[in-house]
Order: sequence, then C-alpha cells, then structure tokens
Amino acid sequence: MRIEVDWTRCDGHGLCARLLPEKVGLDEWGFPVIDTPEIGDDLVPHARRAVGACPALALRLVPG
Amino acid sequence: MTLWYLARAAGLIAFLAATGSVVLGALASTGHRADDRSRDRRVLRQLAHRSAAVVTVAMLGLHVVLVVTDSFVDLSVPGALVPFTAGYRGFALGLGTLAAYSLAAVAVSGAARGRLAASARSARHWRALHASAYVVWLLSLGHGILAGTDTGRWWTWVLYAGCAAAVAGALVARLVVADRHESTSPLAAARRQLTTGGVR
Ligand code: SF4
Repeated sequence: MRIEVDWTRCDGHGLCARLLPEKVGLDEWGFPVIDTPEIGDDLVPHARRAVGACPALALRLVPG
Repeated sequence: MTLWYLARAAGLIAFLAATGSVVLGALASTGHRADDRSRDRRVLRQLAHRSAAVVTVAMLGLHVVLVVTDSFVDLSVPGALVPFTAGYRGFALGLGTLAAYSLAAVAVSGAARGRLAASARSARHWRALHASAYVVWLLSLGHGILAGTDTGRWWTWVLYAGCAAAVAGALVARLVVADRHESTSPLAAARRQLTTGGVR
C-alpha cells in the first residue's frame, strides 16, 4: 500500500501527521511531507485512520 | 409500563446524543491553528463526533423497537414506517419517522465517507448530503416537543433550549471559521479559481 496526497485538495490541516507520524511530517506551513509513501502492513490501520481523519478528504491509500 | 419508560428514555438519550454529534461535527471543522495541540484536539472532536453518532443510531433503534412493541400507545409497525399514518399523534410521529429515515441516510454517508467522497466533485455532494444532519436534528426536535409526553415539564424546556443553543452556537462558530478560512487562505482562493473558473 502507498499513501498519496491530492494536492489540489490538501488544506494543510496537518491532522494526518498527528495520526501517522511514522510517515508524515509537516513543513513549516503545516503541509504534509512524505518521504517514503510505502505503507507496511503494520502501519495500514494507522494509515486508514489518517485517511479517515483528513478534513479535506485529500489523503488516499492506494494499492502498490 | 416499564417498556414505556424505557422507550421515552431511549428517545431522549437519542436526542441528546444527536445534539452532541451535531455540535461536535460542526466544531470538528473549527480550530485551524497550526500547532500540534489544536490538531490533536481536532482529531479528538472528530472521534467524539463519530462515537456520539453511533450512540444516536443505537438509541434511536431501541426507541423505535420499544415504542412499537409497547402497548401503552397503540402504534403499529406500518404506522411507524409510513410517515403521518400513525393513529396516535400522527403528525408528531411522522416527524419522528422522517427524522429516522434521514438519520439513516446521514449515518450511511458518514460511515462511507472515504468511498463516497473520492473525487473533489463527489466530496461537495457528500458534504451537502451529510449536512442534512442539521435537518435531522430539527425534525427530531420537533418530534420530541410535539410527541413527547413529558413536554411541558420544566426540565424538558431546559433540555430543548440548551440543546438548541448548543447547536446554534456550534453552527455559527463553524460558519465564521469557514468564512475566515476562505477569505484568508491563498490556497482556497487558488482552488476556487481552478475548480470554478473564478465563479463562486
Ligand atoms: S490531514 Fe489532509 S488536509 Fe490536512 S495536511 Fe493531511 S492531507 Fe492535507
């Protein structure tokens, strides 16, 4: 699984970084920085939680 | 008679939980400060919003089953299912039936948020659908006041007035925040340009 940000929708709310700190950092304006988007099995539940929490519906978990 | 007490209690708890869920849902989109504590509080409000919604649905289910099975008021299954056909306080119960159906739609939309709001376009429709929760809340308020056999006692007025003030306050807070965000965020402005060609 990979995590993707739809940049046309992301509003920089930064909630994803709180729920998935292993993968998502924030830049100085609160926008997510994801160095390695691949999500291991152990992190999938957390990633789903982050996807569900994004107020702008900008996060996606995609196969591959 | 015990069933009747339980039915009323379940109805009131459902209304209180619905109020909590609506208030927390509205407030979940407030608090745009960019520090970790306000982000965490936002996540918590969101969680509490979803939990209160689950309690609402469960209590409403219980309320409906108990009201139909109880023999104190004579309410048939079709009378409960088809709005405004109940013999007992038909209009008031009709409001309740409508509220239950629209709550079902809102709850399903909430549960399937990720799937229903996959594109920017469907996200807008999703928001409109989910915002009908405010209508659900109004219907259930009307239902509670008109059908509730406790209406008229002082504590029901305190309860309804308190809940109405909470929902109104949360809605205003949400609209104020959304407005400020739209007008100050350069991103929101750019996106408006892109998605609507500058027309709002
Ligand atoms: S939670 Fe959503 S809107 Fe907020 S920073 Fe993450 S992806 Fe962007």
